[in-house]
Amino acid sequence: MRAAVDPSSRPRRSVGRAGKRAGGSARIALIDALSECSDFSESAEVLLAWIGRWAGISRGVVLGPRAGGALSAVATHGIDPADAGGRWAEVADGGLVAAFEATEPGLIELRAGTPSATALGGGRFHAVPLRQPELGAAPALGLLLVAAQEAALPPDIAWAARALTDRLAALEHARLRRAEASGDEVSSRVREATRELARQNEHLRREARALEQASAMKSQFLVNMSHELRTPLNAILGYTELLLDGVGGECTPQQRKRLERVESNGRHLLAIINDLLDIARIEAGKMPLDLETFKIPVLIDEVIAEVEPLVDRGVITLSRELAPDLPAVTTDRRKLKQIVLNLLTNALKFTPAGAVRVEVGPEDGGDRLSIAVCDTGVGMSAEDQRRIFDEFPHFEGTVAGPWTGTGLGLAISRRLAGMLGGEIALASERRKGSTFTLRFPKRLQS
Amino acid sequence: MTPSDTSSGAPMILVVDDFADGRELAVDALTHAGFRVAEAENGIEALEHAQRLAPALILMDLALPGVDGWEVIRRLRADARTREIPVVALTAHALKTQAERAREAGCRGFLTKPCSPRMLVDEVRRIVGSTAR
Repeated sequence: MRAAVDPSSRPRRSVGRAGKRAGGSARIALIDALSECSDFSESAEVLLAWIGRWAGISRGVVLGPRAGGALSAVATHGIDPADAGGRWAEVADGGLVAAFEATEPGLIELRAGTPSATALGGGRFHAVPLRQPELGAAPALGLLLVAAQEAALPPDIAWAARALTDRLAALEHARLRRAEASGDEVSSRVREATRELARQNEHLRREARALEQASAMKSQFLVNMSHELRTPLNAILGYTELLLDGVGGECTPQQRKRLERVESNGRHLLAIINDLLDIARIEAGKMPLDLETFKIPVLIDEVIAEVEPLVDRGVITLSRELAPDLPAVTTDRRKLKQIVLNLLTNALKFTPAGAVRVEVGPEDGGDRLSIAVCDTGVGMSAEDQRRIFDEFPHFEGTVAGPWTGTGLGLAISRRLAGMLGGEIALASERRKGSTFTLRFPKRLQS
Repeated sequence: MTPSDTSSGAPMILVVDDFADGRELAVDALTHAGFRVAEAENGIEALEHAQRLAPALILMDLALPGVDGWEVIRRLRADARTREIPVVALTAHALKTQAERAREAGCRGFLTKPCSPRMLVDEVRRIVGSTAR
């Protein structure tokens, strides 16, 4: 590219004939030549060559800013490039930096002994900061130094410095545009990534919806299935009952015993199906709350009356202990009864002999109530306590007797308690007994 | 324990259910209990039998295909010949709203499936007031 400065080899890049003053065509030639330069040093070389030719300048240098406030030679004229290369790598002489920072061209005298003075050979220089006046205080793009033959700055030099400044500004703009373009590339990548993220979000949303629907469908399936299972089971139980009642003639004791087995197993199966149906309904959100206001003692009595016929009074003490002045509660009566019945049935089932007690009292200053079912039965290990609310937990120590369970009772009770805004806590110790405590708000808002 | 469908004096019960085994179970139980029994497996048949046989009671499954139990009850109520026949609704939905709705529609009784033959017979006896057997 340095050859491009040579006017004879590249006419288009020619900066014109030698002469004292640059006419219109010489100036156009500089503009043309500069317009073909692609960077600072090339432009600076073209400029210095033009100045040397048209302004008769013997020595000149274009300095560019370097990081840290220093200046370095970008191009030289009339100075041994090898010499300048070594010594002009970086100069930060006070005089030069001040001239670079000045807003107007000035005449400076390089201080003897400084690298710049040594390189340039001393003397006075015109120092022209390459700055765009319209940008005000913005830093100059460079500094043009040319040996001064007279005190006044020759107009050609002033004009050429301006031409170089414009070219440097154009190059800078082009660089910024390119940077912007690559910035665009970055932002377009960001946009693409954002779109991808949005797509994935949408995908996840759809999947979540699909899962929700699948879960709802599963629950609906269970509801339907339980219904379908109950219809034939109803016929099985019904016909068994008819046979036991002697529809087909009186049964022999053997036949009766076997039919009773069909019946009890059928009833157990029906209980499991009903419990499954309950769980499916709760999960499908198809077990609506039915709020009413009622008195707890009446409900407790009802529950006790239901289990009473199955309690062997000889070995089990069944009692209730109600706090005085229990307030009326507003909640889902059927669900509450189901929970209490379940806890009580459970307690009796795991208490071969001993005491089972239902305690009711206020909690949280009366805003909540607790119904505790305490037994002195077989109790549970810590391990069993963790699994007790699972579906179909299997434990040792189940007491044979009239108490049949589906293995779903506590799982359902826990869900029902949640629907009532409450929870069930458990305290138990092996061979000492268990206490299940339901705590729930006195007034449930629908 | 001979089924007493020949004893003309016994009240006649019309059993309406599209599920054959469920229907026959009711028929067997009621027959065994001493009632005369007629069967219908859909709503249209139920209306025809009701008009022709003038049963003492209609035991009706509400979930019938086509003309459902609710519509049959509405038409029975709209017809002077069948208006006074008591209806016991039978449904698999144990919802309180269903029972209330059935009562509002004019049903005299409401049974939830699964319903044991004994309960069914007890409910029919309660309404018909018969001790036929």
